[in-house]
Amino acid sequence: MALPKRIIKETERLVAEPVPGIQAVPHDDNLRYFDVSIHGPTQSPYEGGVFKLELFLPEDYPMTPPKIRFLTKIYHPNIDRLGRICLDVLKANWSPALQIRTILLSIQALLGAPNPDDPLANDVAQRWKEDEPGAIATAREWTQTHAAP
Amino acid sequence: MSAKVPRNFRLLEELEKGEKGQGSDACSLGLDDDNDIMMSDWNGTILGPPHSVHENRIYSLKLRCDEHYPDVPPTVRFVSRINLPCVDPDNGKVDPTKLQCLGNWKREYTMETVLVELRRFMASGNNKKLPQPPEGTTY
Repeated sequence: MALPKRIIKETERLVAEPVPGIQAVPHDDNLRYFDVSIHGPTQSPYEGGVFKLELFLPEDYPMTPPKIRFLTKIYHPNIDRLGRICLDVLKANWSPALQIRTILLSIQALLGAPNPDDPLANDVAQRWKEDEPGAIATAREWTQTHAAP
Repeated sequence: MSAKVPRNFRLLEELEKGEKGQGSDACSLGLDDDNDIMMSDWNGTILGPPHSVHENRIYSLKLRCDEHYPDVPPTVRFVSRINLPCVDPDNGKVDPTKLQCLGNWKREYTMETVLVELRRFMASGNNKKLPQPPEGTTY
């Protein structure tokens, strides 16, 4: 199976110049499928946690965005119980000029700036609005329980 | 050769198709546990095909996708009692050697493929006339 040059280049650069706090390694038997880990940003409730994700580049990538989800449980208003992520650049605002690298940076930024006004996990978002300190405390507990490095 | 969709993304596609109601009208499919990040266990239903002894009955099934799905088929068992040649009368398990789509599984098949084929099998030839256990009984 011939892998498009674009994907080969992106992969090479991810390995040669990794983004701080982010790792993405393709599977040997499927070079469109990546194991990803993202360190929780400092000064966020996810600080100290390492979150595992999986990423897949569909057939028509980069015309369509990568598919990506969390494998580590996380308490966040824009991430649901199956790890699916609500992020504009993964949907309507995707552009072929974006890359795996930029998407992973956007996800890391989302961890630092939860957006309860555009929720995917409704129960979490509601709590975030009504009792932000409590929600943050839960997010911190989940980080310690599920995302310990 | 086209991109090979990994198991978890394939199961997410099947889930979203069910959530959006884009699947077959006569069969439905959902996750057994909303918190199961590995998406292994599923509940299915089959609406009994018309002009058969199954008409107006709703059959519940359990499907399980192991870590090798969709390279290997799901395991399937009826929860509702049914008299059908491919189903073990003791425990409701579907015998993969007796259902074409399981015996000759292809990677592009989905859990919906299995439910739809089971429904067709229920409506075929002699199967549509077989005496059935009382409605609503389970294994």
